Amino acid sequence: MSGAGTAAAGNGPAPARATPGRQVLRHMLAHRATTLALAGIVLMILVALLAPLLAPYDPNYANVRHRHQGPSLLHLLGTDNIGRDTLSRIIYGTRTAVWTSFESVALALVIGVPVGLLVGFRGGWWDRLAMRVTDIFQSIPSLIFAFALIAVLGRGTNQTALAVAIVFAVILMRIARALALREREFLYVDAARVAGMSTATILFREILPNTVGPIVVEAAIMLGSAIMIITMLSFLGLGLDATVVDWGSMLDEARNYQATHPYLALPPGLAIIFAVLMFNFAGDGLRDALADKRSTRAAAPRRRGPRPPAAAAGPGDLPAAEVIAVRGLAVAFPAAEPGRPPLEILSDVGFTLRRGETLGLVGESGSGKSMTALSLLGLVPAPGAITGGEIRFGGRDLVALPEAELAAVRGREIAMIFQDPIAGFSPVHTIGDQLCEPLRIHKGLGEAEARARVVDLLDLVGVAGARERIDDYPHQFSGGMAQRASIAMALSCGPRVLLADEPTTALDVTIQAQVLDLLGDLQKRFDMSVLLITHDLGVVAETCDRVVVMYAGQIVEEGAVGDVLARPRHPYTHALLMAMPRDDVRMARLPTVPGAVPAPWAWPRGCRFMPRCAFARPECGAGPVPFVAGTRCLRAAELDLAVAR
Amino acid sequence: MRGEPLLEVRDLVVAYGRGRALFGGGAGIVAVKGVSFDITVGEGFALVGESGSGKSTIGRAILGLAPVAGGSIRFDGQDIAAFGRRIPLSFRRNVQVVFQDPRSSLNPRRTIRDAIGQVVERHFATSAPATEARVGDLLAKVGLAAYFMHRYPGELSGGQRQRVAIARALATEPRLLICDEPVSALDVSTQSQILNLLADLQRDLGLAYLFISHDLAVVRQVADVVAVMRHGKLVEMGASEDLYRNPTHPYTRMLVSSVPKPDPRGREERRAMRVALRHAANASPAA
Amino acid sequence: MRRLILLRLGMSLLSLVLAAAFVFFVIQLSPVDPVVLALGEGADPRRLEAMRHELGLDRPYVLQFLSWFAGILRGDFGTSFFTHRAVLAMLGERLPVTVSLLVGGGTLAIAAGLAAGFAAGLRPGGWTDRVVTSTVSLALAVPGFWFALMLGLLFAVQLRLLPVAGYVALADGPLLWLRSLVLPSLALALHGTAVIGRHTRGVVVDVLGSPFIEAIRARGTPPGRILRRYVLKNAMVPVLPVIGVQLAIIIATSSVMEKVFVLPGLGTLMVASVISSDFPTLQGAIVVVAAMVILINLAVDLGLGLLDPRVRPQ
Ligand SMILES: Nc1ncnc2c1ncn2[C@@H]1O[C@H](COP(=O)(O)OP(=O)(O)OP(=O)(O)O)[C@@H](O)[C@H]1O
Ligand code: SF4
Ligand SMILES: [Mg+2]
Repeated sequence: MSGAGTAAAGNGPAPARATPGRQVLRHMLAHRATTLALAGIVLMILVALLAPLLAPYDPNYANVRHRHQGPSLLHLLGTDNIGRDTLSRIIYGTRTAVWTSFESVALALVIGVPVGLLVGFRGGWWDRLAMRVTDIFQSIPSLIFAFALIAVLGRGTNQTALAVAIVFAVILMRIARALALREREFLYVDAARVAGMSTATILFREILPNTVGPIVVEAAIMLGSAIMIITMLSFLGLGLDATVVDWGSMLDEARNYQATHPYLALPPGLAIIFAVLMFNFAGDGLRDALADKRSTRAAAPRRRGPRPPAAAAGPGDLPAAEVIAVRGLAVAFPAAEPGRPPLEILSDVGFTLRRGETLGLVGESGSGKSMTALSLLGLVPAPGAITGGEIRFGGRDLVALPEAELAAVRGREIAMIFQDPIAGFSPVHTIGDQLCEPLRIHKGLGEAEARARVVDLLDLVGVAGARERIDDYPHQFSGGMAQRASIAMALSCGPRVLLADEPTTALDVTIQAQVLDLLGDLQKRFDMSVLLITHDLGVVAETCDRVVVMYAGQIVEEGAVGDVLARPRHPYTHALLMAMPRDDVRMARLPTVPGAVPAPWAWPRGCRFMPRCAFARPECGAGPVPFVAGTRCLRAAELDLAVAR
Repeated sequence: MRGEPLLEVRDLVVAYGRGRALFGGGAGIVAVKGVSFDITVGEGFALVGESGSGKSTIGRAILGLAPVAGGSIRFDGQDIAAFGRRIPLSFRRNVQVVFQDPRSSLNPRRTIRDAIGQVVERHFATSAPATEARVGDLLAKVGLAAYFMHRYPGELSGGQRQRVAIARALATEPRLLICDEPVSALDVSTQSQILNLLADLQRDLGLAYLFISHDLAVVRQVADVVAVMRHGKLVEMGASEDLYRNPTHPYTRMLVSSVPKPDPRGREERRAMRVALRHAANASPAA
Repeated sequence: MRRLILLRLGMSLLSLVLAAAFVFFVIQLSPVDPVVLALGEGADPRRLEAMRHELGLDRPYVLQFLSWFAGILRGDFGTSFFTHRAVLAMLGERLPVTVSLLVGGGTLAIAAGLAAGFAAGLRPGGWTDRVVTSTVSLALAVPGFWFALMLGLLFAVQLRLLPVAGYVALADGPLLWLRSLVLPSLALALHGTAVIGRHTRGVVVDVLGSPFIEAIRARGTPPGRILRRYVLKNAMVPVLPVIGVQLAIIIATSSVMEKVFVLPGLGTLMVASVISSDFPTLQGAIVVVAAMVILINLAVDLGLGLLDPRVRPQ
């Protein structure tokens, strides 16, 4: 998303924040389930430590006369087959469970993590050896491997914990290795090397802190798994010493009396569930707290937001020369924290797209260009929604159109191509299959017809050997070829409008020129209107008839390309033009725009460009600036911003 | 003609991904195929070319981050390839780097003070207060207030992070700064701030730059000498004035004519020229 | 695809050799001396020596491994220390039970897991999602064998609908065989369902948020078609390996179900041979389990090759 993350313009101070570690804890405590889980774990540890004080009886004291009693005041959870107090046994079982699980996971961490980090970071021979070892564990399930280890180590509490620790250590080694491999790719590791840091420094001061989070998550969940595996082993009779009280063997005994005394299996089972649940919730909570905000966004409900009220003016046909007319378009996302007002990321966006023209939509990252294009197709990603305005297309208002009718417009009347052409194709379907689809859906062509048409189209856009390449998969295409293919697909149903969202940003400059030239040819040939989104005024100058400039979710200027680039009327357009490096002169100093594009939650109330504007006056901050006569600047009439060339 | 060479690269060959034994081999690819050039003291030297042409690999080889398979890289007369894995601190001190992606080039879990301070301590063994003072100086040099010292990278904008990366590179007082696409991830309005900063530093500190970029307009602002790469080889090299005005190699001409100009006048002629160049290239695929 | 099959087959064989070697050498670390075990403590040292020589136990470990593994390839798994029967015959008796449990538990886990995962992932945050997500969290904390006890209590003891315990071979009547498998399979599928469901949900959410789905929607493809044609296939790619891992875990945990429902499978055999230090039987059983897991992994790899062109060798 936007490279300009903070509101702070230039060197101004940003609001102070907590350190990441503290932030994570606060994040965790903000969720009730996680807080409860942490409390539950603390409770278990306390019970384990204070078992002798808490337990009403000696857990091994058998009173045969009191066997198989139900819950009573004397024995709150009843007694077992030889009259031992179940509550006391559960309490001492907690001690065993907490001790064995912590012991095995701690041991696994100490062995697995350093080895994994080291082999992952170092790579080479050691890494390959370690991977072969973990491969073996892919073919022998953990529990079975634990059997073999117990066969060797013998039965007993410490042996079992050791066996489980070895199994977990291998898993942790694999995780730590993968994390180190991932971190190793980040440039900060290269930067540390170039700065002359030693391997140990890089490993423990740079990489380790970035891997602690995921490893702690894994360890928390392993504590639960350890309880599960150890109780399973002792249920099978392979586990702990006979003198040790544990939930697994309690269940084993309960099994024998299942038919007559079914109640016996309840307390230990519930104890295990409680313990595992607490560890899992703690792990999940930590994972969520570590994850970035995007994941919470993805978890939000998927539906189209409430529709804005229909525009006051009834439907009317557009003037013949206009294909699309956008008026007062607003798009908002619900605030990240509940209780805050929604975030309006497009405000009062309006422009017209004329028949047969190429209209440039230009602005810096985060200005709302892509969101504008997606709005035209009714594809604002949930939970965002169009909250106002209208989009006239022929006789229709696309904002009010039902989903089914919109789907018929998409791809047939208005087609779209995207910045990353390869990511725009499903990786597991052939290019041909995907290119045929619009023809089959919208035009009802049969498979053979569609294929023949697709081959023609690919030829047209300059994909060499179209007949063979049609059965290739997207990853077999270069970026330039994939963009040509997506242009072919967009053209396949003869749309009246093509929305091109930074179609060449991901391409090399020579390929960019080819693709832009191709788009220009096709636009004339098919008599389409093109909305070309770009951040590069050079691309606008080379390809567009008219241009719309966006800044911070608003249109700030609209006009013919020649006029806007020679005599911009808005200070932002001017500043952007001046700041562009040119390849024909070397300038002693490039003119700059102070500060950076603000994030949506930091947009000023008045003129949104005011903090960075060289011509700002106090009155510019008074309130929203209206869009008048092709620009959104209070001082447009008095400023002379001609660009000398 | 030019000054004293600081860095001499001769017949450099870099190959990736070979020698993977124990299951899973795969032939290596040769990313750089015999490249030679010099960078003189205080000079701005640019490598341009399309993605995958090998320009970043050359930078990484000079930094000891990519395996040198042939040729030599001499800095101040000393052959770097001969160091192997253990590159001496003295060399590290003289040659520093600024990477493209300011998000990934700063460790998200360390404050700016830690990130820069650790480099200062490593190379100058300073006391804690002296380190802090030095970090403050470095930040001031790249136009950041001391306030940023105790921030984490996540709290900075892209341009601010790139300033921090530059400050970290300056911490060792290098003589050669390798800039690998230092402004491509930035917005236009931020990009010009960083380009100006780099120009100021060159003037004030006498730094030499190896400037790696695909953007000819950006390169124009910083380079004295430009070398054009394609498929792992240099196709043309020359003083930047000449190269932009009279590109001789057909590929360079294509490259120059492909750069979009922010002026719609003359776009039809530019386009006609591109079409002609493409026809010529198709007719003689030797290029 | 042919290259992929050959490559994977080769890797599978290699995995089997490595797994067998690993098991063999790990078990050699045991302090238990099989000869002492056979002849009893305090037996005549010369007799011990003679028997050791006779069994080839005085040779280097590597040679011992090679002859053991060569035996396996010939179908000779050695003789049990404990029952003195051929290990192969003992494994042969027990394998059908384990395979039946794998088929029963695996089918349930895959079907229920995928269904729950898709239902939840298609409408994240909706009520289906909330029900599925909380059920999964709970299911992951319930020990499978305790769940088995409870199932037995409910369906067998209280409702008397299904047998409490015991196994009926397929040959003795398909219906009876099926009835004897219902409860163990349900219990066995619990965790697999939860893990597959949870993972599928996440993958579906990711796929729905990916740029190509946006591009496909922008082409006007109807939602139902997007789901059937694009989401399903793309989601199966990351889900398939998880299914493989869960099937392996089902094989392992069937040992516990065998105990609860008194089924004569490989699991209880392994447990018994651990307790009696019957190493030839234990090693043989583990090799058989490893072979099953390797077959599953092979199927997963080939399935991935069919689904995803990117993993096919060029
Ligand atoms: N799913 C989302 N949830 C919340 N905010 C979003 C979402 N997607 C985009 N935004 C915000 O909407 C604003 C406009 O984004 P948009 O993608 O339209 O910008 P853009 O001009 O296309 O930028 P770029 O040049 O980086 O593509 C940005 O501030 C962005 O952070
Ligand atoms: S309204 Fe004022 S602050 Fe805004 S662009 Fe115009 S002059 Fe600058
Ligand atoms: Mg965009």
